[in-house]
Amino acid sequence: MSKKLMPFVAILLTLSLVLTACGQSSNTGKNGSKNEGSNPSSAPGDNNTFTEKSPEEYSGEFTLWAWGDFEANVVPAFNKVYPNIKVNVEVIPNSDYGRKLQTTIASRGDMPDVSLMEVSARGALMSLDAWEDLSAAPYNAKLDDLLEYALPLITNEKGEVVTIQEDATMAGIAYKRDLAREYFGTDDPKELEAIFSNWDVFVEKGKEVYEKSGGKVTLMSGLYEEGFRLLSGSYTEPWVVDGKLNIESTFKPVYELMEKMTKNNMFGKLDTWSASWNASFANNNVIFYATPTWFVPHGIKPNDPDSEGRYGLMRAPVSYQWGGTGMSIPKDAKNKELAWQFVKWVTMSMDGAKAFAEVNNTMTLYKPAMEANIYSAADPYFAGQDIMSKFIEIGKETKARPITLYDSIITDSNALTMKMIENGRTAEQAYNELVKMILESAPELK
Amino acid sequence: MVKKLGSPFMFLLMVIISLISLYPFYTMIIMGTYESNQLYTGIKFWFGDSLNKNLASVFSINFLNYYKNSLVVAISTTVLGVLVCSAAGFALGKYQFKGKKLMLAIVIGMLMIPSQLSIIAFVIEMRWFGWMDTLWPLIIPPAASAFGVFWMTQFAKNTIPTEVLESARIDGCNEMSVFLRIAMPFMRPAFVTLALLLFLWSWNSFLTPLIVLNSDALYTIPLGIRGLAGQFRNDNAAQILGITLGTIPVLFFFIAFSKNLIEGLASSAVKG
Amino acid sequence: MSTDELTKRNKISQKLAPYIFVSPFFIIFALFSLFPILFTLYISLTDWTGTKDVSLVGVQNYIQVFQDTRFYRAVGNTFLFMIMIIPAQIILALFISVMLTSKKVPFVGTFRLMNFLPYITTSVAIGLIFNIMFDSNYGSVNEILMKFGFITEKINWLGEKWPARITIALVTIWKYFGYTAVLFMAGIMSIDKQLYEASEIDGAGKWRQLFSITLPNLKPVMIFVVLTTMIGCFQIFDEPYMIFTGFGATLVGGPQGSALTGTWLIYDTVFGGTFRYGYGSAISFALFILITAITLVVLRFMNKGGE
Repeated sequence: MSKKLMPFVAILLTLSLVLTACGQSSNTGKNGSKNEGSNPSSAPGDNNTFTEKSPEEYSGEFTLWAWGDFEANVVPAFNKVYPNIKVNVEVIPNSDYGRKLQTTIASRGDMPDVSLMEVSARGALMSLDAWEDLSAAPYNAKLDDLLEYALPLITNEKGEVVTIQEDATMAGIAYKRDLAREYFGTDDPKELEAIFSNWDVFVEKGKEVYEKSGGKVTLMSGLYEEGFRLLSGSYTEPWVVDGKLNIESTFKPVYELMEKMTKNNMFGKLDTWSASWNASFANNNVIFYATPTWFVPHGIKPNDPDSEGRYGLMRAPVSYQWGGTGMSIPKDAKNKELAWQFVKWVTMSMDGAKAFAEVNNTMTLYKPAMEANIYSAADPYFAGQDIMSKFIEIGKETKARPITLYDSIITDSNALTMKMIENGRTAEQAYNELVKMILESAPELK
Repeated sequence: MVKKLGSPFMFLLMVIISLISLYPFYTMIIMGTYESNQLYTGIKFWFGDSLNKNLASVFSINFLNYYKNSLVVAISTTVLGVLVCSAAGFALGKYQFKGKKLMLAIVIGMLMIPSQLSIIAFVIEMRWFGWMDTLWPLIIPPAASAFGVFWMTQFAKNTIPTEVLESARIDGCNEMSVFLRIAMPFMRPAFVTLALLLFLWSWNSFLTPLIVLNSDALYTIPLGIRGLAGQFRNDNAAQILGITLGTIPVLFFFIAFSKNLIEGLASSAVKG
Repeated sequence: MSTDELTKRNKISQKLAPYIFVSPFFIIFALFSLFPILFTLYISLTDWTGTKDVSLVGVQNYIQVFQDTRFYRAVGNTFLFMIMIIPAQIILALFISVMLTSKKVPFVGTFRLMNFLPYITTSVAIGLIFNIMFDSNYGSVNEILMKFGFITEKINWLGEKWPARITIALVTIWKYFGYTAVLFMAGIMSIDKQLYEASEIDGAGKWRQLFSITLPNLKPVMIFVVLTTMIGCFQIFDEPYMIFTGFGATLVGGPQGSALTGTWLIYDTVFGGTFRYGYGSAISFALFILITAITLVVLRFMNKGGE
């Protein structure tokens, strides 16, 4: 028997040695090319500003950690303008991105030249002393070119601009036209906006829809997280002020509203991104969806691909926004100047805005592009409605809440306490539990 | 042996339990043949018709290369781990020497510490070694498995007769050949068990590769599959198909060696 | 060379040999497991959070751990999971293993494989599949229960405290009982056949054989299984993490913290919130001490129990 086993072991051993050798050589090859790439002259050093060059003069490569294809998509267009910059996009799973970034920073590992910050992960990440201040030299980002509301979302508590958000995130309400006609007698956005002008109407109509349909259809999907985004979106008080919890002015009224709406069955119990929520688009059991710009190509269309002409977009009673991905340049990045060319081009140039709209079907925050009307078009999926113009109109009034270090603790706790309201507890019970849970995780906020 | 327990009712009960056991695995295979947005509309019982589309997505990423990396890592870890653990297990199980008790205590204590706990310190260390963005951190550290040594120690203690070792020594064998020629054959059943488990753990390992690897060229399967994601949502169907394809080697390993696996367990380790 | 000299040389090499044999393991082990853990022990004595300068704070973190309600919740949940999981898992595994070793059942290999498959399924797939199965609106579990009239109203499996705990217990049992059964089968197969033959002559029934021969002889395996499962209960993480944060609402620790376990608490402290590396490390070591204590108590209790 042992004779039988030995060749097996021998084969395994040789095989693994051979294969390891392959792995190694390809690896050193890669490192080699990396070293060639890091052009010493591209390090900003003590220079106060990068010297202005024409796009062709920039050459070398830089690395970007992405989780999807948002950024990779625009690279070909970028290379048309900057032919000599090579962008290495490494894909890291979305759900593990923060953990990877955090561990790399904590262990002072090799950082990419551009890293991404999703808005929900920004609180603690932005507070790390790991990012270049892009509003300062040598970058001197022209922040005036960005839509005003986004500034609190990209600035940390020290006042540094540590990320530049790629996408505009103002939000309205998408609705299913057929259901709107059935329940409210019209599918015209203007008329619907006139009907749904305040939350009381939402409650009343929500109750009607639920009763008319025998509980099969609800006006909106669920408290988490669409409901919360819509109802809390107009509050702009930061959640922590001077090291003290400051959530009462936001969460009390929002929870009270939620309690009232839940009691009247305005919301279903579908968590955003859950299996049954995904199914609701095609299943016809929800009429309204809280919808920011990016939600159209990434939330609605993939879940309901065969429904051209079925959706409409209207304003919510409040102006709000939701989501967003920013690009940051780590202090430890090796190719900052090249990285900055990319960040600047995507977020603050007409070409970048055009390319972004073309491949990602959504818009950047670059104001001149909006003013130049490059996005305006009839969208057949929305029965010919010009939704981009609607979003731009909303964006003019949108405000955003400044991000604090504790935002993710508060957001996580809020997800748990909203479940309490959904399961029939009162707003007061849920609010007290929210405060208790936050202070359990962060006792220093007391 | 146990006649009454073999009654039709008991048999039926076992079949039902086994089917429940099989069901999610079967569902996993089925789900890989649907489109992502169909996955959420109720549980499926039969194959869908999007296999080709999902296969195309799976192979649109560098799946074969991930496969190669996973094989390199899993096989190297397994071979190295079995050798290292059996040598140590043999010594701890069959020799009396100073420090043995302490060593055993450390090994057992280590079994109780959650593995995620020291990841940051581990990564700092990997940087010192210059091992970031290489496969070494996935191969070398897991080879010294506390479980493996515990396992081999128990096995060696219980199955290798001391007299056989003694007579080999009297015949003039040195200690190395006592280990290689006499002890190893006795420990063979345990190799298979340990090899299977080391292979399985290495194959499914996610956290370490996630943190230490930065280049797509070195990604292993679990990491590569998770990359099948859009900006805001994952292509779950393709991911599941990737996982199913990724499970094949482990499945093959288990089917081929399941008899030895039980034998290896039976002849020992769990005895004490 | 005289025989004396030879024995002497053998004696020396016999003394050295064990050190040589253990050294590859312990070198790798010390470098890559022990060192990071000691380093983490050091981190646990600091207030490192990643967002401000680091300073040594001594046992401050440990004092805080023992005042932390979340810590006690995690420990409490772990005990609940132990009660829900260990007996059920052992009974199921025993049943399967006794059946498959009884020689009265066909397709032993197939059944063994079927029950072992959950163990080799990755947590990503498990998370997605169970998330869909236990969905309160469309999930097959509610559908089946309603069809057979066990319930009249849909159970919110993943949104309420106790249903969530039950779901996690079921997933854990499902994943590990086949593996446990394999251990039991191994144990049963190594029991001396003559014991059964002798008792058969004495006219013992099959149930009596189970209780008087099989179970007593399985004790070492049983101890091993109970201990590893208990330790495993502190470390339940992958599956609930996938189920409760992977697809839909991000419920850290499950609804109302009902599925928060030791490992999840550590994970959330270190990677969630404000990145408290020092405090998270302290929780790990506090849990380690707790687990060790419980292990010793149970070991003592179980060793007494049978003899």
